[in-house]
Amino acid sequence: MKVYIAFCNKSFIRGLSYRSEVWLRILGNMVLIFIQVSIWKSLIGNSESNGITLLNMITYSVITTSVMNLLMTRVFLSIDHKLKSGDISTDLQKPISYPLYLFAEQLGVVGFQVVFTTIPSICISILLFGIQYPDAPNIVPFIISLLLAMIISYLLGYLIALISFWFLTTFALNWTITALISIFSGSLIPLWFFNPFWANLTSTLPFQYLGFVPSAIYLGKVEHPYYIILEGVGWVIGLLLIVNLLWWRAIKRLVIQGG
Amino acid sequence: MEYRADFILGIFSQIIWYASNYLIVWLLLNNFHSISGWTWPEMAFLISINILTYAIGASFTYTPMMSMEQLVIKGELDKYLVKPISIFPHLIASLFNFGYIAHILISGALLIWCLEELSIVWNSSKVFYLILTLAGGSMLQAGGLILIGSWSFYFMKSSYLAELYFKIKDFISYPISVYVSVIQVFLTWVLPLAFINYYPALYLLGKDTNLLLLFAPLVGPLVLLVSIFIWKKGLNNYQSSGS
Repeated sequence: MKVYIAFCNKSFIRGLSYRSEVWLRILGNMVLIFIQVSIWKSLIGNSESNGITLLNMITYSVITTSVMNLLMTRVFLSIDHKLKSGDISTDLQKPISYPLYLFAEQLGVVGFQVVFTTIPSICISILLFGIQYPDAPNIVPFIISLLLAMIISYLLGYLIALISFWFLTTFALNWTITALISIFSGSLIPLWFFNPFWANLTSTLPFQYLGFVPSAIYLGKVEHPYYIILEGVGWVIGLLLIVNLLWWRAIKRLVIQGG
Repeated sequence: MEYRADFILGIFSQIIWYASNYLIVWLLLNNFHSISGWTWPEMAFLISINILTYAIGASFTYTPMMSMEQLVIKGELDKYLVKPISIFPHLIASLFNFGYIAHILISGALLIWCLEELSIVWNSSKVFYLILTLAGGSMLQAGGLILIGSWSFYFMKSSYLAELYFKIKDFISYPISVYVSVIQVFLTWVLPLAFINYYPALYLLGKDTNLLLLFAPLVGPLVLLVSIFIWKKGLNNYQSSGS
């Protein structure tokens, strides 16, 4: 365990060397939130739509944008880099679990983002727009849903990395996953504004856990939060199985290539 | 073109990405019917002009300007400086990017679709205006990227600025009338991105009859000239990092 904490710390500290860019990152986050808030202002205004108020949507936008900062889908870039440079062969010789090592590394990256981008953006948003605070019973499921967002995004990123063992490039996969997440996570438009066909499709996919689910739980718009969390755990188990299966095949492939 | 399958998969995935951009707006308008008075075909027009002009502008300037940072940090710009030809056209020509086929395919298709859908009364001057809009918009998009590239001459690192720029460019995926006036002023006078699609669309879609809108496509060439001027100024400032 100690060793993973060390990896996590290391990648957090590596983030510190980019501290001059922190302002640009916060500004970038604020631009995203600002665009969404402006659009909801123009669409909903002072009335409400399907029982959703403007304050609901401002809060929703702030949360989904913040959850975006927690996602670890980018883990495949790290693997891709190591695959190309050949560093992966030394990494694999280390007496550690490779997926856990990568998870710890990503955790450090995310930790840096949260401290230096997400928290300042949330503070600015509270000052500029004001957000809604959660009802007490929703706090625990909300925190669990944040963890689920991190784990599911990590597993999706890891899955892409493994698929890239065959494709040897992540370019196309990167664009595709970004597109899938941008629609099906519901981070720009919540599922309750989707038409029935797309809403049904979205609720059968794991991407909703990367934006919609945490925000909707926070706002108390999910009737049975623990039920949807349980479903998310099901996704985690399913993805773990797929990833493990692919991992053993990928490792075999790697050995053959390295011959 | 060495990796044909990769190239095709890449185009395919980019089409999915841009389709998702359209889809989000479509889903939104399925529920709300219009954003600040803009219906779905009008929004599709706005977005298509943005993507199409970006594709044209970026084909010329994306690669050279995004690699400025590395060229400056590693001192590789010297290689271009020592040749007895003008450096700017040389950079543009040698780093031209053919990778924007996906952008052009999808935005072109949607543009043609929404032009049929919208009941615009076409006459020769409107057609001419549309062509000027595409040309001017492409120049503006190219100019924006050149400004990002120029930043490297002064501060070396420009990749985060580029990331921010692309986020700010998201503003013009929607009609700027939805934003507070400070942002509208910013997008008109400071970073005149609204001239890429919003102002020309106001005229072409008949949303506003102000005659000043006729001059909107001229902002593009102006921005391009200014950005090239700033870039050349920056080049004079450039001292090889020597490494």
